[in-house]
Amino acid sequence: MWDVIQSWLSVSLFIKKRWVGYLIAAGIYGLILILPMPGVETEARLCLGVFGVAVFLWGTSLLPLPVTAILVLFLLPFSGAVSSQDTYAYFGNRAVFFILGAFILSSPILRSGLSTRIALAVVSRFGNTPAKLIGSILGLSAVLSCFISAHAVAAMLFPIVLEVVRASGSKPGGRFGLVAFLALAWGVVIGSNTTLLGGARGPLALGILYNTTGDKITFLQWTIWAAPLVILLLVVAYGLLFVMLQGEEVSLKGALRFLEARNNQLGQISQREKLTAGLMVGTIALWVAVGDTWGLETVAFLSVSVAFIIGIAQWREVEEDVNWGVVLMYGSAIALSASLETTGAASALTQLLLGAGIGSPLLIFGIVVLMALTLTEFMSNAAAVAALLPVALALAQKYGIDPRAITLGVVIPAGLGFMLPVSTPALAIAVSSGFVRPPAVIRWGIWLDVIGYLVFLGMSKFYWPLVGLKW
Amino acid sequence: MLLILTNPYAYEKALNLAIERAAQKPDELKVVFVIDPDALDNLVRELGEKGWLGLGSQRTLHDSMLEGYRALAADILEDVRRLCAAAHISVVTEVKEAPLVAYIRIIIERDNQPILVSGSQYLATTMLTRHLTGFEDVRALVEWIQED
Repeated sequence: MWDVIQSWLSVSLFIKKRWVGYLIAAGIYGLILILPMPGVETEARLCLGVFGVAVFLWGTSLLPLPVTAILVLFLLPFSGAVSSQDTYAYFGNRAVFFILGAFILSSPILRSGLSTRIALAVVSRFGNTPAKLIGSILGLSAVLSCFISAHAVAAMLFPIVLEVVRASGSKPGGRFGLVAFLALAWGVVIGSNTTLLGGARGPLALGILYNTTGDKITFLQWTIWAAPLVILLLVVAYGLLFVMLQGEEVSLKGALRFLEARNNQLGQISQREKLTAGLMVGTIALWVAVGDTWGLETVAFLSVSVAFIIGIAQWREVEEDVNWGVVLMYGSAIALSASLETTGAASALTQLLLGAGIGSPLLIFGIVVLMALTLTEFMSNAAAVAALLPVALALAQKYGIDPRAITLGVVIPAGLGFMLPVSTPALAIAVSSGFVRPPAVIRWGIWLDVIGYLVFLGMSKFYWPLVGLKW
Repeated sequence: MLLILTNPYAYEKALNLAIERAAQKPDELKVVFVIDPDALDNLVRELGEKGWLGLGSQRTLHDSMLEGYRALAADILEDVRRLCAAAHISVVTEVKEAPLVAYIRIIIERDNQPILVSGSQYLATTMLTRHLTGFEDVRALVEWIQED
């Protein structure tokens, strides 16, 4: 079974041989260079060629995402689209360092045992009936994903949910196991949209937005603008899980015994856990209060420095806990979007799209949201943002849409992949448990996709203007 | 007769076929659930890449998935023993942690007997077109039962 899930994750279903994929990538590059595009400068055309290759490779995962990023960093200056000085200057964007700081800060949360303690406390405190247990897994996953990368939360909670499911006597094919793992996956997917910490795609989008337009979205603004969607989707998700659970008889005695035993194993809260909790509260307070003036990345690095000075972070652990490829992928995506903007490639692409004859900003916004939601089902969240946002920002400029609104219109739907494990590692993790059949993910996930789309459009039209985002 | 199971979601078709054949012969049925550590390694690596998981999180996932899968395999084999007992068939069960291809080759080279392998279409295709190419003697003795 793992081989099947891995095959979904690794290579497009349509490309059976890698070398065919590389030929297609080269073909895309060549085609963009020879296509007639009147009025488009050579640099813009070269940049579009690199963009086409990057979107194809990110979309199909023919190469690991960071390797495609390196290819982009090579191709941009080598092809003559932009100078190497500009390429690497764009790479050193503030958003990249914010992502890095946030990832480093999540290390002591995971390593100190704080996150496990919180998880066990919540699940054992509130999970005394199956419906409440599922609700607590869903809510806990969502809340933790506000502070730590969603997929790290899924990896952390996976053993706990697995033990709970097994201790309840649930067997493969049983609905309790399915519902528990879907609660985990859906919880992290939905919750990760609440703050800039839940997924690195948020900071990536901010980096592209700032480089392209000079606009910013603060830590607090992000949460205020995204929160209603998160809350509504959590309610819908709980409703769906509740429906799925109906008629399933489960004894939680074993599960509660396991949770109690694990709680006892943890003992008293340690000094490291207390300091970690204090540092995280302080960091979030600083992000909210002075993030705009100091810079989110400066606050992140201040907290990282403090974490090492007071001894709650260890470099050896950080080296293991941070996936350093994220720096390459995100820096390169930002460099590519900046190059699209400065060479005029984004504008040229928009002109081509304008030929479709759509005149309504609302319709354009709806299409962009739908594209983000669709793309993210077939490629990673970050790749969907990197592929779509530069074009969406150029469209926003032409149609007079607030660039911050279109940024959220791409990045939040790109984080709402509920149907296929391709885009969402949390779903792949749930399927890998052996308790969740892939058809069940699609059958129930499509409801969240459709409802998420409608709720997002409604929120952007009627709620955002009330909280300072008119478009 | 040897039946190899690889997927906890779907194994009924192969199991029913094995029970049916075992009922026709006085053979003992052996059912092995193979957990392929290479497949797990690959999956966790891909998940790490897509989800930007560090090595620490990857290790947590790897260990707990493996542990969970051992328990699942034990559950499934218990089910197999129950079904075989109901059909009055003698059965031996085992959980094996080994790369599937290597395991199949070893078994066939040792016993030179046909075996039933239950799995997905993807597994059958990759096995036959990639891993077992050039091993015609092995391929001839493997009967793939593609589960829905």
